[in-house]
Amino acid sequence: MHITSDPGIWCQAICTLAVYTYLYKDNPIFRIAENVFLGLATTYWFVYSFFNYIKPAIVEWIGTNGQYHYVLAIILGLLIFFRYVPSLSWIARYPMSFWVGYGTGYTLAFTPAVWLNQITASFVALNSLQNILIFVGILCTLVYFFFTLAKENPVVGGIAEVGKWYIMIALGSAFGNTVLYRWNLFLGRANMLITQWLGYTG
Amino acid sequence: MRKEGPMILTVISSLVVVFSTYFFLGQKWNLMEPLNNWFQISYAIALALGFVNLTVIHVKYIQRKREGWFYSIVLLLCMYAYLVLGMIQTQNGLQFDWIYVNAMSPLSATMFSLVAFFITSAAYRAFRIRTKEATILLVCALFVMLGRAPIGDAIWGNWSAFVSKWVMGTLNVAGMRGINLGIAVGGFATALRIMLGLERAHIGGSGTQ
Repeated sequence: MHITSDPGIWCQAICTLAVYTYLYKDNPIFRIAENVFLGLATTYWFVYSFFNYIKPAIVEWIGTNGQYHYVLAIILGLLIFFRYVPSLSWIARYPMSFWVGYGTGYTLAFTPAVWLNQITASFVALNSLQNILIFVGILCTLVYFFFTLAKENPVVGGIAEVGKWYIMIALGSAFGNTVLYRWNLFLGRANMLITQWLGYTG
Repeated sequence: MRKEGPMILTVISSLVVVFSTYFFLGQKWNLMEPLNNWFQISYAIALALGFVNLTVIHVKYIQRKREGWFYSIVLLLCMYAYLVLGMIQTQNGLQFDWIYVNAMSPLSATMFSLVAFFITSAAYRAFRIRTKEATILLVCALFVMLGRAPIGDAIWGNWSAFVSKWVMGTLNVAGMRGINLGIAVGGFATALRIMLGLERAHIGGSGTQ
């Protein structure tokens, strides 16, 4: 075992251990780590977006290429700061409306291609147990989501019940994958502490 | 101007996206590219709002000496020191990147990994409920986990991977596809309502008309 002298690894180890102190209970070390993370993350994404979108828009698109309509985009973005002026806070609705409109248009324009493919793929040949289970499962799950159908009807209620089991299976699979992913992250941190920081190679 | 203007802007921006995707003229004029840039620029500027908002809130905490105000100082110090470094060096600067790799990235990964412990205890609590649905959910999750972790192979050999693959490829596909179709149809209907001006929550309206 050979503890590293690399300041970068030491910094990583201190950050990792500071966060894990929360497993004992909420404490000042964790709170400091939490606030450091919040501060760094906020700034990182601001700097990232500044150098990737704002600066190129001002210097290249407007300054060099003469695409002056992007000045309006900058003004539109700045309108959001009217939230801080109570009497004029309604002006901040304009950028919000543009983003919602863009998102709405995007949903209407691009999502049908994805889910229409999913519908097409659902109509499988019923020549194997797997295909039958998939087809029946999709129908039952969709029936569960039809809230306009009376679930008191024994046939509809029975189909919806099977749909509920399928939903539970899907959520269980998603849950299992999430747990595994989080534990993978933990193993990654533990691996860093043991091999890179403490220098234990087994 | 207070409500109609934003509503008109919502409708126009959504129509431009639809027009430039589905119509020949829209594709010919290539409206999507400038519109995408408009979105990116205005959205990037809005990120500054988050930055300013955090500053305003935590300066207030410090001024009023609220409980935990010391952490607000830590937060503001980190934010502004990193901002100065970033503005001098750009995002590719040596020290700026060093802090990202050795502080922000491990903090982020560790914060997310912390959830592993709580999610496991949540699973145990769900198992104690002893309903049919909770049991199906957890048995399924167990199969998926054992099939994808070495311990599953150690207990059941190839069977764990086989069962996990079957659950994921058959039962999960059916359930997840049903859920996804429900989400897609719901999202599409909501988008249509916003475009038609029936949904106004985003402009401070009462929500639905």
